[in-house]
Amino acid sequence: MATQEELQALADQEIEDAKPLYKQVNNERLEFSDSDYAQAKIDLGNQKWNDQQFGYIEARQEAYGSTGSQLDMQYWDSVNSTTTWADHIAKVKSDNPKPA
Amino acid sequence: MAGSLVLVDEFTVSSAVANVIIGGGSSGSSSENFAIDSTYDVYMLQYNNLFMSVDGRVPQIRFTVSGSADTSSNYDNARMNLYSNQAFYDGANQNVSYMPNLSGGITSPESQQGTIYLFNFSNASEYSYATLELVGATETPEYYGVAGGFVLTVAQATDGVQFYANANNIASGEFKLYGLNK
Repeated sequence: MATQEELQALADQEIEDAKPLYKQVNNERLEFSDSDYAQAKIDLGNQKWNDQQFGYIEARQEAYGSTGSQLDMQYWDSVNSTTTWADHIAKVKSDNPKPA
Repeated sequence: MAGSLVLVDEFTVSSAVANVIIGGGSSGSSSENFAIDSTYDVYMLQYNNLFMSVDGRVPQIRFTVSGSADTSSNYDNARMNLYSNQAFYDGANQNVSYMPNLSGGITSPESQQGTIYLFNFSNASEYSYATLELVGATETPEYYGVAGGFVLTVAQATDGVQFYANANNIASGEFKLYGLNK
């Protein structure tokens, strides 16, 4: 896992590569000021950090599927003596690991 | 007439920009110089045909204070994402610096459109909050809808809404702000 400083460096470079960026103010298209670029770097760095640290939570919740579909898996597991639901949960967890 | 919508600000992105402010007074994107105030209790922001300049980039949303985006980590939100290709997802975040959104695209039909109702913006002693409904498509295409709300947990007056690309630019889009007549 990357450190926050490493992710911020990536974000800084991404904004640098995207230059020039523009904003629209009072019907004028103006290039970002230095402070706008600085804020864009902070925003992107924060987002990368949040995605890394907390993105696995939403990714897991999305991948688990609905409660109904999980209950259906558990029902058929009980009927067929299979482990479909447990395998599914384990795969979702391993596909979306919690940051160390 | 009470309940009618009065157009107070509008802007169409024709040249790509990284952010757009609707309302926000003279810092707003249009030449209307309209700042959300107490003229109306509730405002409605409608946006259509929002395309990004790079696939997968996300149009995120913030409120403005005296025309400048409030970039503090004081936004809370809750939302239900309705996907055409996977299970629905209900999520929430506290203390983030924007209203999360789903990614957009660059070619039809990968646009996004939505309606945002804005409440308490002009009241300096209350939080500003909004409800949001949007529909869109990403690559493949995969269609989605989002229904939710978000609040800026600072007791202050806010006067506009900023849309900003999480990286690169907003390529095009049409934004209209209405006041709901008392």
